[in-house]
Amino acid sequence: MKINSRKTHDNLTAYLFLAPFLVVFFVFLAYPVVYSLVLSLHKVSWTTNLYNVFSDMKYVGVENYIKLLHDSKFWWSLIVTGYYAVLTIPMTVFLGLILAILLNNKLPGVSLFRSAYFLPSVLDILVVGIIWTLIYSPHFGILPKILDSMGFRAFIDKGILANPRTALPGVAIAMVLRGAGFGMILFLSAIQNIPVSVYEAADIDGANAWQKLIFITIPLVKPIILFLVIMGTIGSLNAFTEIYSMTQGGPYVVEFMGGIQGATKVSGYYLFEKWETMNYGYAAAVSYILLVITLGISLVNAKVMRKKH
Amino acid sequence: MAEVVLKNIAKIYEGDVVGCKDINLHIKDKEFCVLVGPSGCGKSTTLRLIAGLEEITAGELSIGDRIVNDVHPKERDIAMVFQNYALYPHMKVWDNLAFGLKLRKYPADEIKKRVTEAARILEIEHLLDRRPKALSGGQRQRVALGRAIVRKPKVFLFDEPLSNLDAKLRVQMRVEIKKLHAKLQITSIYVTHDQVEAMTMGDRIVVMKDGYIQQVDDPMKLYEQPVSKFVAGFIGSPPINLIKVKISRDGERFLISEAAAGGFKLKYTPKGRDFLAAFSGKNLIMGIRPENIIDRIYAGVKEAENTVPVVVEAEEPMGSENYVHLKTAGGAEVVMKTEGSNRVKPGDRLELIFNAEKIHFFHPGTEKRINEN
Repeated sequence: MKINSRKTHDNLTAYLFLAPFLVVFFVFLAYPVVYSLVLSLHKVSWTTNLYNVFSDMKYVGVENYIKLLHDSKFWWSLIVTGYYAVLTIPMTVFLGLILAILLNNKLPGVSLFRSAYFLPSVLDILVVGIIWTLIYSPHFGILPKILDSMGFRAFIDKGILANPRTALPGVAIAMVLRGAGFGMILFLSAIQNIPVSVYEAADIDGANAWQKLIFITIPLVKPIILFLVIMGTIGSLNAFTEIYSMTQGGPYVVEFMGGIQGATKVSGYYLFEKWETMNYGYAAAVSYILLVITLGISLVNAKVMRKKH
Repeated sequence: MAEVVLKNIAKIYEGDVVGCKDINLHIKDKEFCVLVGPSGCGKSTTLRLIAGLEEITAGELSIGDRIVNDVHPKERDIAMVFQNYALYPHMKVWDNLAFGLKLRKYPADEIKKRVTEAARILEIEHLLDRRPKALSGGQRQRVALGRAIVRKPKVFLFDEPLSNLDAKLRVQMRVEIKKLHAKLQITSIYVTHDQVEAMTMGDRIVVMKDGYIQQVDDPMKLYEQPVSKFVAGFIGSPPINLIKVKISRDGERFLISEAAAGGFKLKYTPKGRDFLAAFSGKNLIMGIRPENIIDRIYAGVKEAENTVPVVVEAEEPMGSENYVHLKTAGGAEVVMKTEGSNRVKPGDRLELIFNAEKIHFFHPGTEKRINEN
């Protein structure tokens, strides 16, 4: 009996310490996840009470999901999201790793560079987006000007972001440069955890610098690569701020499944548009599909990487 | 067939920090040479210079008949075993062993042959499919040894390979490495800070201190004829007793008296110690090993002359022998090694007899040994 009561007491203490987190978790995470599932099965009717929209929604079953399957804009947004992921993830991983390898030495000024490359990660995406919008902008943006002086005259009038071919890569470059510093820090700490003697053993075994990178460093930082790929995937599926601040989904010039589509309209932005136009149920359905895709990709990723590792 | 010759080798780090200096060493073919010394003595640095992991500041290093100062480690035809094993954590044991061979583009069947053979010799065949994480310390060290032997190098380099193992395993691996050396007959250079390892394993031992070589000799000679107080104190366990003494004449004989007030006095006349005449009236450091001290009552000597009166402070019974910690009247601490059955209690008063022929004398300034035998 005594032991039992002490156990209960211990458990209670533990939950007490956990309480602050649990409160935040349930209010801002668990409840919204469940509630958005409920929302996705409802629809705002035309006759809704504008002062009580959410409780006045009509139950429609899976209607939102069926509608989604035939929505060309949704499918297009998934394609753009995939393209965005392909543009950003390998570049972020590659650049982070290169920076980490370059900055993993004891040259003077190295810590300055480390901080400098990491700094953009601290800035809000919105801020970075605005800065790059200025860099990309027509006539006075520095990049079109440089390209113009080099003989590429296509960008000076429209800038980078108004051109459907360069708009999404433009956003991607801005985000890669912002995010690479974060990857660099992770890679750096992973690389520094590899004992020097392992490299020395490889030296004696006859490995050159390239072979050491391929056979020693990269396999040993694989967990970081996996982490960055998963985070990048989630980041792409949730991408919103960068699109909002740089292109608002435009330019609207691409034809797909019989409609004119925005060249940079990723799913996250499409979801926002639906929400903005009071299609709460539909937006929730979009978000649920994105959630399922995210989970699926993460699981597959983890499995594949673990198998190779 | 590979000798390793170091001529005036030096490693000076930034800010004139001496890694090692004036290293002259001729390691013979098939020899097992041990570098020993306290931490920071330059033994590991010397080994790393031989491996090519660090650049030689001055001097000439040759392996076989080739000068290798500017040769990359992989071209030196050496293999190295590290203290922390330095196994490739993401590779299975098989791949760890095969890695060097694969990089050197050996044909697959040759790789297979060599890896299986090494695994058989080291009895790690059942571990080939495991990753280093799933191995015990001793097993990891075997894999590290295996990685060295598959390549059949000219020279083996060992950098404190047993330091991370527990005491029992260390003794076991010590013997195994010796056996392996006897079997493979490859020139080996072995770094350790453990004098027992050095004594038991080395054909020849190089004692180092502060970056310089102190003495190079075979184990017994090193033990019996140390060149300096440092070597005498470093080799042997329990260590040699060092007592400050004053030399004076006493007619035909010499009188050795403990330098501290109230200490013992010994009349001393062994052969070949005439050099003491030159030190009459001066201080010297007397060295005597614990096994060369005997309690008078076990010596069968009745006379009380020429004994050193001491008080027992503590004893360390080891079973077969007993280390007795004693204090002389002058306050010098002396350890006596005696038979395990000769037990004493703290506070007991004993009279010791020093084996006069085994006494060493060291110069108090240079710390060099003065007596010749």
